[in-house]
Amino acid sequence: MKADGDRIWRSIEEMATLSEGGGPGVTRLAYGPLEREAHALFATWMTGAGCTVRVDAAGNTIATRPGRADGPAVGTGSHLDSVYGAGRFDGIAGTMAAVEVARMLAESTVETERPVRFVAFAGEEGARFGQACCGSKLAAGLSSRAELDERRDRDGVTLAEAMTQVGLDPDRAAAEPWRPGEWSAFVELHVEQGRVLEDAKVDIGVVDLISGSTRLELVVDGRASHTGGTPMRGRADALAAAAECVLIAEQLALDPRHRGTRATVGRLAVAPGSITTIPGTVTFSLDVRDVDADRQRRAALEIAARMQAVCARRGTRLSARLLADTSPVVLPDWVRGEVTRTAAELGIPYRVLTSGASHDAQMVNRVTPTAMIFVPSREGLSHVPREWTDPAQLAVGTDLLCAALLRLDARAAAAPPALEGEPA
Amino acid sequence: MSGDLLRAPASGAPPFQSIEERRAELLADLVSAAWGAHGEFIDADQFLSKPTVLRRLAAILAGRVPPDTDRLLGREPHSLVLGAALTLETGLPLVIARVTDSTLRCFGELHPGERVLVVEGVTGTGGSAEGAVVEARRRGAVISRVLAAVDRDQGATARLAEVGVTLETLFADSELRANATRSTEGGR
Repeated sequence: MKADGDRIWRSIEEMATLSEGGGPGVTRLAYGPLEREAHALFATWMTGAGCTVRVDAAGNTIATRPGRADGPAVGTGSHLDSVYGAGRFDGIAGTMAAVEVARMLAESTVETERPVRFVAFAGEEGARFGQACCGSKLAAGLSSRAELDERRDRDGVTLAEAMTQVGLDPDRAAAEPWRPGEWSAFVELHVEQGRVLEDAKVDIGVVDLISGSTRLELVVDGRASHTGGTPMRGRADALAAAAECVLIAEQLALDPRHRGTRATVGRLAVAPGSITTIPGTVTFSLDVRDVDADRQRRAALEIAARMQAVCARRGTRLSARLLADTSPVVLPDWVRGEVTRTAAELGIPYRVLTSGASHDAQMVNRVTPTAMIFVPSREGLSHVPREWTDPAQLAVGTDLLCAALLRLDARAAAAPPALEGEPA
Repeated sequence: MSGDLLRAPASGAPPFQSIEERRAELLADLVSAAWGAHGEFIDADQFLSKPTVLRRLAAILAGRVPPDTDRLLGREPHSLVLGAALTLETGLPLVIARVTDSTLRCFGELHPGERVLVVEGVTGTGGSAEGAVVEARRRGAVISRVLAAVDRDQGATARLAEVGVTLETLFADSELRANATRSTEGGR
């Protein structure tokens, strides 16, 4: 059994034609009609590969290939929605790898012990509703019905309304999570969205930790007044203070205590925003990401405290409000171990790395132990039309995915592993 | 998630998550790091080698170190890392217990009459901790407590009680099992 890179590429190209707006790149938003079209195409392909297909209440499409016996299934999959003006690979690569695995199995005589499930998750990107991993979060039972009314897109449409418009039932979606007993393990393949693999000249990454993020909204209150009439001494310029604050965030994340911490001010609004008025108020964001849970929060607080000191020295006042806070996740060692052992057996070099972005895998991991395989992103680019992964690299990732799923299936069917030792 | 983080009262609700949420997340990460690679054997090296787990363990366990403690004791090979993290977190000096020439001995400074807390990553039968207690007492230390991150419910509590030591643990075996099998109770 060998993955067919050309066939994977043709599937990716066909998915890429489902795009709205006519601009560069692919735009196929969460819980929009085009996303559902992509799911329908996925369903057609999976039926063609001999799977039984159903759509769960959250809009995740699940294709099942039966095994010798029924029981907890191994699963794989990713998402089919995109951000605005995206590339062709983010999410799609992993879903098309799942399609390819189903096709490889269909063309082979391989029988698995238990069922294998292939999943296209709905609404992974946070671009439309400001909430990432909607479909997988619902599948993991981590979203309440009320949340679906709270999240709105830029046209004011709630997540619940969008779901209803494409024929899904938000009441059921929040009430019908996946059952852990139906799964034994899950592996998601995804593009790296960074350049660790490209720099290392290695085709495969295996993820050990997924970053969390702590997001603050900070407001500097200074004193607005005439830029000509007000002397430089004694000003309380909110933007000059905020500028120092931006550098404080950068400086702290570059500190030797913070290998792996990323701190970013990505949004900054100046009021009154006039050429001839000293800035009176600046509102800005801080996003601190880390794979170390306590360090992430301590970094956010330390940055805010240092910013506060700078603002006080400049005669301005700083306030800080918590916008969002999610923890990093350790992915289960034993599933990763099965993937890395499979890679070693196949002679595929790999690197173990962390994921800076959030993924469906971290939600599914709440249902069943989950691993992630990364394939390279050229120049580390993602969420842009130039996003690129070579079809040959996708084929390597798909070969590893297929072999790892078979190995996990065999492990699940075997008797529980014997105790190898106990602590004293 | 409202209110000014910079003007939060010194006491009261933690700014990011409740103590219960924090504990549940740490349990899930510890299980992810250590469960299943060797069947149901929990390998302390697997979770103590991850900063995100070790840092939180040290922070939470530091709150359980009795105020009158003079020194911490960490035994090689599996509990020394936790002892080192806890010595940094609390500022208390560390005694290292190590087997040399088939005999368990204490290294680093230790003086008669000092109150020592034995720190363990994982307790099973309690034999490892008991050995450390006996050796430190031989050196004149006063020991009444062992603090462990995880207890596997294999008799450590009773065994240590026989030598007059209380075992205090952060996570029980049943919690680990519930989390590893994604059962509703204890799952993250």
